[in-house]
Amino acid sequence: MKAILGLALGVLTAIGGFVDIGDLVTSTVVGSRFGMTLVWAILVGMVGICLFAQMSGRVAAISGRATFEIIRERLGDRLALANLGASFLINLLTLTAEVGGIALAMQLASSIQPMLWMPVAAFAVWIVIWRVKFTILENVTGMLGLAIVVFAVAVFVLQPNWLDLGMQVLQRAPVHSSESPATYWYFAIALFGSAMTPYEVFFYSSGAIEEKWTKKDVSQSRMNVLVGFPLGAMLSISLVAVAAIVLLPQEIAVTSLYQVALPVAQALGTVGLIIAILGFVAVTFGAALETTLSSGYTLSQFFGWPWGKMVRPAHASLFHLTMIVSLLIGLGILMTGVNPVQVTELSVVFSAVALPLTYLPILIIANDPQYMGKETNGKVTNFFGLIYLGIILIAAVAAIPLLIITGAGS
Amino acid sequence: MSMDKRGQRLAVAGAVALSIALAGCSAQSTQYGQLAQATGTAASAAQSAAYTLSLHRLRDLIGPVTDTGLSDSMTNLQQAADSLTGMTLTGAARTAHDDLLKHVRAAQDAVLRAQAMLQIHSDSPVASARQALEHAAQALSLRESDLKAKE
Repeated sequence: MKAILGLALGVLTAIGGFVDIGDLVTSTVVGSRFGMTLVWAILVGMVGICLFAQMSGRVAAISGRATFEIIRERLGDRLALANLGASFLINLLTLTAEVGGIALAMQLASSIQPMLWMPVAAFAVWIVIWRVKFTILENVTGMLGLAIVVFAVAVFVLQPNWLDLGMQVLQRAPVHSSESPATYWYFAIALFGSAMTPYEVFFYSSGAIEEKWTKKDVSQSRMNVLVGFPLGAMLSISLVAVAAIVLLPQEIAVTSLYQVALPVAQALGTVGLIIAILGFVAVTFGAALETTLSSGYTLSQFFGWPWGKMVRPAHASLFHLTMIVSLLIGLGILMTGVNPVQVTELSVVFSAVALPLTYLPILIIANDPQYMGKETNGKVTNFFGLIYLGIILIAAVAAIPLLIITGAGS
Repeated sequence: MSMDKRGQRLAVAGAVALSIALAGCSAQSTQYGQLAQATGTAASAAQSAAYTLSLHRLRDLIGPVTDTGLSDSMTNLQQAADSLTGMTLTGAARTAHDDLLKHVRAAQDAVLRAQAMLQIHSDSPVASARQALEHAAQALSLRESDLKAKE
């Protein structure tokens, strides 16, 4: 019974933890401009994150060591430094977007300007990391994040023309002829990048070490990933769908977080709206915790500093200092007055650029018997791993030119 | 020989005239592109504000969401207005610009009116502001399509 409860909790946490500010914004922007035509990019990204998250969880459970520690040992300082640089900077950008997202969500609940919420949000993230146990932190935010299910409910309440919606999924061109093919592909990469955000993998594998996973936890980890993440992706698709049903016909292009919530208000009234706002706060806060911890994990694991929530702060001072400095940098960026939604849009595209440096080392280590023993990747996993490396490379190469050509999708 | 020279001169003159015409067309096309982008932003902001007010009328929104919606729409309309006023345009694009700015200003006025009415909890004038916003959004959307066709 305890095992079943543990499994259910893991799956539910994975569902709630899949969506973050990047998914909220990118999915709704895409739905409002392209209808359902880009849903395939979410599905491709979902398979990719399942593949690499279960791989990194297995590496952590079998070797008992953290990702960056092994990467540096196995691939040498240069490649590991490139990996660290790209991952850390993208993580910092994502952290900035998540803290901004908390502030935007709190504005919807209070009318108070986001600029005033930003320091409060950053402080709240720090205090929770400092005081709250890892499992509570992970499970509570994951469970509250399930409030986003309200978007899936809204899809049915809105009673769309299912045939029309289904036809859009199969369509290979923008619904509106005014959208250029370059913009279409730019947003395909953004959706892919938001599904495969690197921090999800660092947090997942480091969490495995924090929770002291062993070989016997591998199957539960696989279940969490293979059931939880696809259901989380369904939430992203629900976000696209409600925007396609409500915002696209009215030609409302999403530029603010409040617009994400409007279709739910139409479908379910104020109760639905309040649940959606609660979901926004939960998913952005949860992701802010994960990205802040990931910034500490990446640097500490690379440099071999003591790290982890289980270690007393006095013994892991550099780990905690890294997180505090990262939060302050993120806050500093936001206090310049930059629009958090634009930071989010940029963070998902730059995530795509950094993906090869994040995922190639994981694939190499998961194939190394020195670390994995008999638990190295099978042929099927390697086949898909290589296909995904190809997709990741194409996305990484195309991201910046498309960003420039489309003026960041404008 | 003189015929060759004359032919060369004609070819050069033709090429220059073609270049000037193409450059003129290209500049005009860029101007229409800029106008279309600002118009699209304004149309979307106006429509978004109108939709927010219609949900507010049905009591589907909570106060902070309506406030945020109107304030964000105002910001986007202001950005579009700033972008339009900052453009240096010539010919037909100039005429189009003045017409667009008129509709953006009308949308801004409607948002301001709605914000003021909501502060004193008066609903009926909000309905007229919503209608004004829908009208402005429709007009801007039509003009955006025209501008994109000319781009």
